[in-house]
Amino acid sequence: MRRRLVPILGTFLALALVAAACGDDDEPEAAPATTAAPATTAAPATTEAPEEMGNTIVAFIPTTTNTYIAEWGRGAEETAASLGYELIIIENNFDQAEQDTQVQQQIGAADAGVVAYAWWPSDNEAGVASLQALADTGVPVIQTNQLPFQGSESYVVGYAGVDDKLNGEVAAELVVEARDVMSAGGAELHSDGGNAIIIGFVAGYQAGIDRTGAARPILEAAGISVLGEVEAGFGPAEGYDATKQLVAAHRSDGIDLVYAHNSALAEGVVHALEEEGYTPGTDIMVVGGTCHGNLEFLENGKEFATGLQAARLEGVFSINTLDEYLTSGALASFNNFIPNPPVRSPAFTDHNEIESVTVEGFGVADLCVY
Amino acid sequence: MTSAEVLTETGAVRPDWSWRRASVPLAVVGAVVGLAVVGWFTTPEFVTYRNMQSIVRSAALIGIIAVTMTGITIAGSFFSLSVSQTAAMAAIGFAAFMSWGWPVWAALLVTFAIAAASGAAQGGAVALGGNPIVVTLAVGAVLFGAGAWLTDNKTVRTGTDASDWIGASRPLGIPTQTWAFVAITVVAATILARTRFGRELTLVGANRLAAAASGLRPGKITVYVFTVSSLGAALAGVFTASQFGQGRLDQFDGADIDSIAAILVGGAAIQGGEGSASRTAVGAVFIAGLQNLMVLRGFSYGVRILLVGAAILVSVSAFTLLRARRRLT
Repeated sequence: MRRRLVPILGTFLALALVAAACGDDDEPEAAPATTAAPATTAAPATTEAPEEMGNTIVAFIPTTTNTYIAEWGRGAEETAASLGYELIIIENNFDQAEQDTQVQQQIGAADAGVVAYAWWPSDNEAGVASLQALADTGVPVIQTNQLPFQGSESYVVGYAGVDDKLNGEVAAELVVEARDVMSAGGAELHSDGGNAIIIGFVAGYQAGIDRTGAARPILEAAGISVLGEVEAGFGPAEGYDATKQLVAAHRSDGIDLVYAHNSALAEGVVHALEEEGYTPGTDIMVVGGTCHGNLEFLENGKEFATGLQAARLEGVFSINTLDEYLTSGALASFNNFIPNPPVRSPAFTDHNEIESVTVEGFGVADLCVY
Repeated sequence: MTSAEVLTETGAVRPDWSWRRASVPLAVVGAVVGLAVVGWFTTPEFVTYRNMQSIVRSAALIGIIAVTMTGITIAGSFFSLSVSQTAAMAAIGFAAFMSWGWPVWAALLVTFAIAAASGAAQGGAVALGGNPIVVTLAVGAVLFGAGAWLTDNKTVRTGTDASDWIGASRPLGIPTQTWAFVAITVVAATILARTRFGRELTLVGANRLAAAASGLRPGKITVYVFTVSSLGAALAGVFTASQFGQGRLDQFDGADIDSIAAILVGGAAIQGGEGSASRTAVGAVFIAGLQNLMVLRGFSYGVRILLVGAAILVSVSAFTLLRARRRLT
């Protein structure tokens, strides 16, 4: 028995020592100058939250092990710190039930220091009850990343973040543009308007639903046939697997265009297409919905274009909008969308949009590589 | 008693091969053949060489993880719930080593050494009496947390194409992942079925106390199987990191559950003592094939999940019934 107890106790002791040694590391780091909130979006007048009303903002978001969400968190933390707020981020693993429990715990704790909530649901529709519960506390709630589910708008004071419908529209217009560039270059399309496939985010994720929903009418209006769609995930490996499957399904129909919901998926798409004998940028065009990570394929033309929807900027924007409400008691507009300018590959334009396109003073390399 | 005969639990001698003994392997192969036949009649694209290659490639990474995890199940330690985190950490570690300018061999060596140490530690904890589910779940959590902390939840890029050949080359037109999947399956199946170690492992899983009483060292075997499982997961991580030039913490979400599904569909007994690396591989291919067929048919995500879940349920129920009937004879 003693022989078994010794290693177990040793393990616990080691874990306790590690925990103690790491404890101080949890202090938020000072925001580096290069990533501070842009002047145009920072609260103009009061930058210190009044002491008597508390200064804590609680953000309910999916897991920051997703690189996009982690970047959102970094932008939000830096902005909150610069405005004098304490930001507490409560993560769930894309699990609405877990997020619902977290909301109940937060409400049960009745923390008087909380001045506002930021709400990023894992499942927009299923999370409405928790959103209502947060609103019922009387503490202002702002929704981010996904527009409030229809009918739940009254539970939030406003929305701050991406406009996924706009993102889908911009991406679809880029797909149409890619088709036209391809045709002008002499490539023969496999149908009158060209054939496309869509590689999307995970099933049920509202951002993906909104993007595809906004993109399809534009694609169809331009005569592009959508042969198939797979809800893949967020990263290159998922994009790769999904593309392999859709290529197997529709190779005989002929695929001209691929719309991936983000550029990380598009990375996997390019790898899969090359393995299948296609030449992205020549006989097939790939468009990513959101720049995400690697710019290599955008630079060399294997990815025709992407959208500059920046995770960090979304985090900055969310906290700035909350601060606007807390300091002035109202928002100038309910919807506060971050811009989403298209960024085309320099292989298809006269000028280098990777270097020239900026948002709020940030360039593509600042906002897209993480 | 000849080599073609075995001693039953009741002491009777019976032939080494019989329809009842072969029922589980035949059921696994039958499921794959059935799927192929359904695909043949309903979806012409399903049975093309290119799509078959795509299915096996799609099954390769989960297959490698599942085949190398099969030893854990056969040895009676259920499963490892840390393989997805091990694979992700291996991808991150390998990408980081490459980004530091290390030669490929050194990055591989250190990545696999760390994975082996992690697996051996888990095996050691289980051998000391730890519940394998709890131990591996805890180690998975530690690896996940450490990964998040070390990477600051950022993508780690190799920053070089020196290791691309590992994940992106196609000897004889077949991806390296597929070659590795087939090779590992052959080696694992041979070890499990044809070597003394394989028989000892099976005996440990069938009856741990009897194995110990026979002079075997179940603890040592447990350490071995967990080490092999970690190495398999690390190989999957290295393949992905080298193919896409990056390691991410969320790269292998769900890989542990998918691997367990492959093992179960392959007919391994959850309680140990029975299983086969080749059947696990067929299980992985079956699941990948089923998913592929449903995508080709344009099924929605919900229906795909429903049918994969149903297939696993039917498989496990059928194998349990087949084993029960076999024990009665």
